[in-house]
Amino acid sequence: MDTGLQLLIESLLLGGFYSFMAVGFALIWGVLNILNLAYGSYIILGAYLSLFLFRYAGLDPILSIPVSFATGFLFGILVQKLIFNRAMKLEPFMVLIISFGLDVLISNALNLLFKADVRSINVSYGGDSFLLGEVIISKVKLLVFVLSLLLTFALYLFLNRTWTGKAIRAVALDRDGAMLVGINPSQIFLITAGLGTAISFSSGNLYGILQGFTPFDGGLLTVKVFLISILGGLGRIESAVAGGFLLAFIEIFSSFYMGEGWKLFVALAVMVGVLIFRPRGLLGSKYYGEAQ
Amino acid sequence: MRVLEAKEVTTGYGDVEIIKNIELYVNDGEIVAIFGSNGSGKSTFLKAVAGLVPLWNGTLHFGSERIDELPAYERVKRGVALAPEGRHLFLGMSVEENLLMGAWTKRDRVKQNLDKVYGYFPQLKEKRGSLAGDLSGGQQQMLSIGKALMSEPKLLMIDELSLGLAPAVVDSLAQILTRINREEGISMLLVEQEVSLALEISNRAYVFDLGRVVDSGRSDELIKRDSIRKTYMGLA
Ligand SMILES: Nc1ncnc2c1ncn2[C@@H]1O[C@H](COP(=O)(O)OP(=O)(O)O)[C@@H](O)[C@H]1O
Ligand SMILES: [Mg+2]
Repeated sequence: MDTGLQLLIESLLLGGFYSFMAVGFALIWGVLNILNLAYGSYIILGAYLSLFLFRYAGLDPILSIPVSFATGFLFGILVQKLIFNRAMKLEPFMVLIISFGLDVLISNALNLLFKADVRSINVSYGGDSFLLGEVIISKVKLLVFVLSLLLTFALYLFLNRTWTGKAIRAVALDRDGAMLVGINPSQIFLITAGLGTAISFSSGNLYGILQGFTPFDGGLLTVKVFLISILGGLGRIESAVAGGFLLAFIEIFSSFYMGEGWKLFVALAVMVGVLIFRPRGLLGSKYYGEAQ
Repeated sequence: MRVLEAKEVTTGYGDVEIIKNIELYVNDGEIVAIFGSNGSGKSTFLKAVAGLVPLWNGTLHFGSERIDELPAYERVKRGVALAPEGRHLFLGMSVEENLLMGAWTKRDRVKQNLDKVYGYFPQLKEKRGSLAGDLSGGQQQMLSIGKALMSEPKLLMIDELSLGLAPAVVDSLAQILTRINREEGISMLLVEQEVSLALEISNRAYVFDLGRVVDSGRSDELIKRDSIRKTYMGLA
């Protein structure tokens, strides 16, 4: 069996998911200028929501994505209105602190509700895999990959083809310019917060069928989406996708050849390199944030 | 009939007062110019009219409606448009996308207005697919004006039309503006450092100094006045 090829396929499959998982974080960061440290916990919230629906309503995690999306959208708007809108009027540093507090709050609330045990969502097709040439492909991973790409592409279409989507980009590019064409930035901020959070919750459904999870896994996921955003750059979807695939390649290859414990270290090292040589990330938008 | 009437307009940034008791009006169909030394508050006044800077005191009427309490985006709907200092284009979007964003409040007539803007600025049509950030200075100014036109303004305000542009480009832009004023009946309020240009294309003008209106009148009279020629046009 060709190990290199197997690792390559594994990286691609994981990279698709990473891209989708991070795109909401990058959107919130890019448009609202909020580095939301609770984002990873949002993903975990989505995973528990989908576990709950699976257990008590018999709803498959894939089929409950719309529920997670809608719940996340409302949750994101609520948190923006009640918490971040106020915090954004203070120092930028406050937003960071508050989002960290929110992360602690969510993970502890989940711990009270569900205990710290590792949970998993055991879908019937969970263990299936097939051979493609010499490469083993897990059906679940392939399914998550395809759905991730589809959802990311849908977001791309939304941002580039609809009035609201374009307004989100306009506000990110130049807030005063957006106000001058008649866009209400506060409304766009709410929609963006809702959309970004909806993506985090939805990616939780996919995360939950890929692997087991506990209430405290959010922190590591936040580190990952942060890495992806730095690696790829901000300002457009393609950046998050590039960053997502890059992180997946780094993780899969370094844990195979150097050991599991090395993967975050290698990713951080690459991040530092990117920051030094390409401060806008691999695919950061050329004009993004220039006219703020 | 007055399109814009500013009374006792006072504002600033933080605690610093920048403009005080500005009295200024624009009649229907008029081109009005504002000039004065750097830092005299001309841009601040236009931003106050557009709603980017809140008033500390005074009132703004647009037609018969009081607009100074409305947010910027509501003023755009009513027909206030500003091509601002620094242009504030969406540099990472194409020329055409910028124009479409300009039509945010007038979505049902995008096609007609786009044709109109391309009619006045054929260069924009040629460059419709290019990123706004990759345009020349003159083209960016055209785009800034075109974007403002897409909202079907009743009052078009332009901050520093000529800044950083070659004289030939400025001349052609000025001609297009007078055509737009005549053909579309759009009133204009122009901030312009190039005083001879400002006085040539405007009906009336205001002189700002240290945040106050220190002189005003018909442009054809101001241009003959010695004090204006000496102080602002470098002529004897
Ligand atoms: N955003 C701002 N914050 C603080 N001060 C400002 C800001 N914009 C302009 N100013 C100050 O206000 C004064 C007037 O500026 P401005 O209205 O741009 O003048 P002008 O357009 O006539 O050159 C200047 O002293 C400038 O430094
Ligand atoms: Mg100015």
